[in-house]
Amino acid sequence: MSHPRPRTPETFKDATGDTDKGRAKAVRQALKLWADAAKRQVTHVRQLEVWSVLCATGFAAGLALILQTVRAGQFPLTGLALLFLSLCLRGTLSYYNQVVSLKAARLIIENLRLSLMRKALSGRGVGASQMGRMTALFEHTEALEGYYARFVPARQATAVTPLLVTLAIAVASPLAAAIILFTLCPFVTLMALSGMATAAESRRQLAALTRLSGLFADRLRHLPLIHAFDNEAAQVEKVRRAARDVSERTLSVLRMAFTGSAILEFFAALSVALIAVYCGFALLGLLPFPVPAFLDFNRGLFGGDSFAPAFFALALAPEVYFPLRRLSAAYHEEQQAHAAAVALMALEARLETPDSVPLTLTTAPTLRFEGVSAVFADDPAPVFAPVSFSAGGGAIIALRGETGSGKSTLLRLLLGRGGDVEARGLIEIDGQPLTPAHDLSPALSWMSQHTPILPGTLADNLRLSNPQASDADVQRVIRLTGLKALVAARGLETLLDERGSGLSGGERRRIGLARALLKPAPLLLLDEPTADLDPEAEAALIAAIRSNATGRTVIMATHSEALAAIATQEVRL
Amino acid sequence: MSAFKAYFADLKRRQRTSLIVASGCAAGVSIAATALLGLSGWFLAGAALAGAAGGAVMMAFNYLLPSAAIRGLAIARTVMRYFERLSGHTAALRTLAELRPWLFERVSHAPLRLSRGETSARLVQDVAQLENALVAQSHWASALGGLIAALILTLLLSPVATLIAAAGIGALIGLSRRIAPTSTTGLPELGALKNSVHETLPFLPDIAAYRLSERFMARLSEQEAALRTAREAQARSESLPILLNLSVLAATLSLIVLTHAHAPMPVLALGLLVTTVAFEATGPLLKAIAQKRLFAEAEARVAELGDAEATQPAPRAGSVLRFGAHAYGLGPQTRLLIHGASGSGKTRLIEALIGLCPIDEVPGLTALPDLRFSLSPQDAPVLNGTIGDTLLMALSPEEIAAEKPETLTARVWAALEAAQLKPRVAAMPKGLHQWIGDGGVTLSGGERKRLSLARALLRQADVLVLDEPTEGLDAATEDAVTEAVEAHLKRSGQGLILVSHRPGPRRLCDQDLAIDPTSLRPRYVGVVQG
Repeated sequence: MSHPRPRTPETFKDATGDTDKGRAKAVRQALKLWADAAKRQVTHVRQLEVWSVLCATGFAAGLALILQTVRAGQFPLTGLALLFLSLCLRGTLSYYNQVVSLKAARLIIENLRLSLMRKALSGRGVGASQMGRMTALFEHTEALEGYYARFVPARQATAVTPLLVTLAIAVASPLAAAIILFTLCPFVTLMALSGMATAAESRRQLAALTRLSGLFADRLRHLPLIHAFDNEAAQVEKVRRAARDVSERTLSVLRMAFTGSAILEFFAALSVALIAVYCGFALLGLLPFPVPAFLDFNRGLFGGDSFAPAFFALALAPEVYFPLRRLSAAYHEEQQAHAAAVALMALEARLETPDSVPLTLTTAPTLRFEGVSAVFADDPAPVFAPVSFSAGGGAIIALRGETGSGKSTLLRLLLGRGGDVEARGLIEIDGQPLTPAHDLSPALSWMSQHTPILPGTLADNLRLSNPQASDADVQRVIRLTGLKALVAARGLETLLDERGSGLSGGERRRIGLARALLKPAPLLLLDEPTADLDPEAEAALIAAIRSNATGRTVIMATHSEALAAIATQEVRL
Repeated sequence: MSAFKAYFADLKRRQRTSLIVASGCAAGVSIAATALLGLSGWFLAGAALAGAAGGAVMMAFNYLLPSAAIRGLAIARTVMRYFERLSGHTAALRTLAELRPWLFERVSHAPLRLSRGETSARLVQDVAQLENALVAQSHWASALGGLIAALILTLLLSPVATLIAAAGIGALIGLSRRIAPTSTTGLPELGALKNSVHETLPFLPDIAAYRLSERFMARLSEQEAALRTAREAQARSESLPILLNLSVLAATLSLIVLTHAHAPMPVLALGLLVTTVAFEATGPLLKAIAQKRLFAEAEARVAELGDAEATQPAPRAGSVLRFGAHAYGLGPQTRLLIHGASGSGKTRLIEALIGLCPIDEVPGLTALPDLRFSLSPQDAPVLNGTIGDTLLMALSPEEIAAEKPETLTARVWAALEAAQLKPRVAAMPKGLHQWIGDGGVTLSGGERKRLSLARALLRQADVLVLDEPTEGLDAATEDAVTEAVEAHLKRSGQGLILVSHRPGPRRLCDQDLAIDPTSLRPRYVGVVQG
């Protein structure tokens, strides 16, 4: 065995071959599908691009006209008006183009994120491991902004503008247009080649960046451990190496990208120079070759000699390359968006919840657990050792175990479809096996140490579990859960905010219990209902739970000896 | 000056040469671009006049020099642009490569006031935003180069034209700086949305049980809409420069034409074209001005990480741990069992003992000993990395450097053997170099426990602290681990502090510390508010 000096193995392999191609195609399709949310804006941007070409043409024509008129010794009113209006209009169009493009991007992101969040909220719950993924949800969706706001419009412009501009130049000087086409062809070929090289290097750079992000997340999570072993220096060194790796890889991507842009610049400059030289020599009559009439300047265009069309061609030539420049500047955004899309597609697939059959119960059900455990999608190790027990209808089961032993996860198995927890073993409710397709939520009430409070009145918050509950029912649960004092002091119509400001921890918990009881559900799940309460508040809540358990089968996960004491049976994890 | 500002300024100083090269090239690019188009226009117009005049005038027209200059400028522009970008980005990236580990070091010594996700986002994204800000530094030079070239070249037309062009560009930059940036960049809105999602996650079971998802979605949709509104406002203020740029250009060109309707046509062509290019060259600068707020906010967020105050460790003295009414002298003979009901705060006490949490968070704890501890935590965390990485955390870089590689390897294997994990690791395809965690082999809970124990055994310490070391192990393995720990303690002369509810390891202990849940209950803490 060699010496175990720390080092970073290359665990990130570049995916190659057909799967890579297939995935790239799927990513493109997904990116296109998501864009549907802003169809109108995307079409609008395309129209703006075409109008913008017209303005550029107007500007060049205005310049040519001005110079032609000045040369003739007259005042260039038409040319000046054309130039002024074209420039102002172009400014306005560009402004709207950018604003609408961004609006499109925001609409797409908003739509996608809301749909993912809706999926996340309809599942059985997200484990601690998935919390991190929800952070990624924001990073990845935000990474799409540059793609939809800059890359997509630039790509649309690239498809239309160069040809339109060349066409406009061809009207004035066919030979100048031919020169542009001549410089455009090798340019596009070279760009495509360098694009392929950059794509591979870009993937490696993104992998390095992902590695750095992952390293930060992992080491920040384990800071206590790092402190416990006084290992800060070694970890900082590791971060330094990863950060340098990212910088060097980014640099090599950029070097390629800059070479690509340099090629672009060179051809853009070359086409301007070639047109200037061709036009200049043609105007001097010094061209070393004869130009056929159909390729010569269109003298009639500006109503003068060859000068105005020549100048028009020269002034318009840089416009051919303008969208290509935009595209190459936005190239990085595309790479980022692709990486983000891969992650988002994976998240989307994970959050997908199957259609389910609602399971209704009318009386307190019997339960049987046979070798039940739970696994998270990303970790094959079971969360807790298999659990077996059975309980009659109306039993109160206390679920005991150390922090992190999986009590909450076990409760979540009963909540229904979706999420990334999966049950192993057999769960029977009233003798009927529970499958992933079953949705038990109509039959159960849930109370945890976190009682959600929604902005609204107290009565509204109690009725969240059962909006149809009668006033009499509401009064009954208020009496049962000892909320009377609160209601007497503040009234049922008192407004609460989502932080539950003004409520004590005990009051908040009572609201949770009252809410759970208001729903006529025969199965009551309690997850640490008395955690962090002071002894008096806890005793009162326990009394309320005990007196309201009749007619329900209750499972409660708890650390509290006092609460466990009211259980009819105990299950240890 | 804050620690961050001083360090960042120093980093920038180290990259000064590259930044100056970038600025120089940026200016050069603008000058070349301005001269290229101006010269082309002048050449064309001159050629037209000479061609029309014919004869001697045509022969006198020097076409070789301008056409050579045009080609030369085209190449110069390309080359300088390449070096501008390369040296600008090199400087920015190298700066960041040093900034990130420095920030991480600062963060690792200070209490984490932000969430891990937020801290990590700042280390990655906000620092990347600083890169953009650094690259944007050369935009001033680019604008300046274009301006100077335009001013010199318009002199060929007339000083009045120069004045008009200068006034135009000056007005443009002045106006851009005057435009108040929007009050928000959308980041606070995004933060609020993130928070809402995170606050909603613990409620997922309630949402599932009572079908509340639409109620929660309504709030999230509202926040999304607010975010979009803010981003759109930011986009409007970032897009304004282009509108301004072209409008002021229209006015400037019109003024030049109006004042020079009788000027010689070739120099007018030159004047108009160079002014146009000079306006174009200010584009990136105007955009950077519009993004100033974005850069400033990113810098402020990063600075918050860099300026975090390191925590002062609690005072330690002697070798006595005082808890409640008792004092526990810790030494080589210590075999102390900490027990109490679940949730009573055993782990918290250990964390305070080692210095991972403030002493005042553990009621009853009054004095900490000045000893070196080695911990195997209850949740047995393992770094993403190789088995070797995880184990060598226990040793300082000096210890690693001082040992011969063979001795070090032998020590590592001995620790793995004591923790009953040697056969498992030896069977792994890459042995100690096996990657574990994300993207590698997943260890079971019991294996993680034993790896964590092996790490604790490797560290030179006065007292070994084991929190539920045998949880999740079968009886035979538990016995073997217990015996190995006993042997290790004898050999190394370390004391032991143990938390365990299993009788196996408990027999190692001869003294106990009981945490009474009723008397030492943490102070009543309500729901976190505002």
